[in-house]
Amino acid sequence: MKHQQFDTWLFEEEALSPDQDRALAEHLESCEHCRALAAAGRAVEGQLLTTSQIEPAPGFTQRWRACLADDRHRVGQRQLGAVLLSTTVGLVTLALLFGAQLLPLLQPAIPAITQWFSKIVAVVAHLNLVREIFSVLLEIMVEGIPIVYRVVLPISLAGLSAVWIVSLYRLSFQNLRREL
Amino acid sequence: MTERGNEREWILHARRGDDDAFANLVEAYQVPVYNLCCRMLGDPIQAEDAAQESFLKAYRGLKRYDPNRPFATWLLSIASHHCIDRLRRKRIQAISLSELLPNQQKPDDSPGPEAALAIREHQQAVRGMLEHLGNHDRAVVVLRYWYELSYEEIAQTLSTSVSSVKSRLHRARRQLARYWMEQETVALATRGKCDEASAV
Repeated sequence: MKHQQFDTWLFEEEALSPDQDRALAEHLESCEHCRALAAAGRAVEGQLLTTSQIEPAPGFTQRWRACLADDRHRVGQRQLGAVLLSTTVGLVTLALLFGAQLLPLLQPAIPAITQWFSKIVAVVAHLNLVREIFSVLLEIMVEGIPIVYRVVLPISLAGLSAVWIVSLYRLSFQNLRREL
Repeated sequence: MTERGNEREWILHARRGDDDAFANLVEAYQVPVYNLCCRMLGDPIQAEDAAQESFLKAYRGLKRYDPNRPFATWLLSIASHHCIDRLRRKRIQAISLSELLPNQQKPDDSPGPEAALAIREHQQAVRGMLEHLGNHDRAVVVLRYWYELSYEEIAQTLSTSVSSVKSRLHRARRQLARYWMEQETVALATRGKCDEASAV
């Protein structure tokens, strides 16, 4: 019988027949290589069977909880991104579709829209001018007022405001409390 | 592992979205899942990562779990496939056992320095042997020797046939025995050289 056959029988998962068993035993007596291989197989088996399980570092479950939280955060972000992207794509598509439809309708109104736009620009320019005039007037007025008044006036205004707020408070809330 | 009753209850609650119930399952199965990943990947850091991801996959796929099937087998199946995928994507670099995290061994195994060294050498020898096997053959060996699963259970775990499991196991055992013989020869040669040197 071929040497290869015994080599196979040595590591056979299924039980060998009595004849095969006998033939293998006879071969092992005469073949040093197969004997050494059988011994190595037994040694390997012994090593594997006596090796204990490796444990993870303590706190594995806590780390898993952290992983789960991270995973949920990532999934949430991905979903949000997907929603935003699909909304944007949808809006752009709609805008393109409606734009294509509305463009011929809007064409007669384009001169009117342009006119309105130029009017808005003019109003903004006027408002800017008014603001500049007021700022110049304010500067002139401030320069004309003596320094004592410049200090006294804001303080008096602040005092008057405080008196006004206190009177309002007393008139409204204190009467309400009395009623309660 | 765990009491079947408790386990069923945890699974039931976890399916309804109870994180604490699934955390109980993680607590119960952390060692077998981590050990499988460690044996498959040979690297504790990668193994931690793979084990965490396996549990996440299990959590996400819990609705697909068939209660008639043992939960442990289902979980080990997820972990095995995850590790095989990882190995396929990237060839894991072997690292020395000195890089293992301080709490990698069983807490009960707190022997003296000599015994600890023996355990380390033993673990190193086993890791060295497993590294010489293909991904699927390694998974079959790990499931057979550390989890004592039957051929049918291994076939179910790895989504393969019983005959494939048997042939993989046969090939792996032969390969391991040959590797062992080679190592013995190398060790004998080294010892011989040392003896010669000391005699001189």
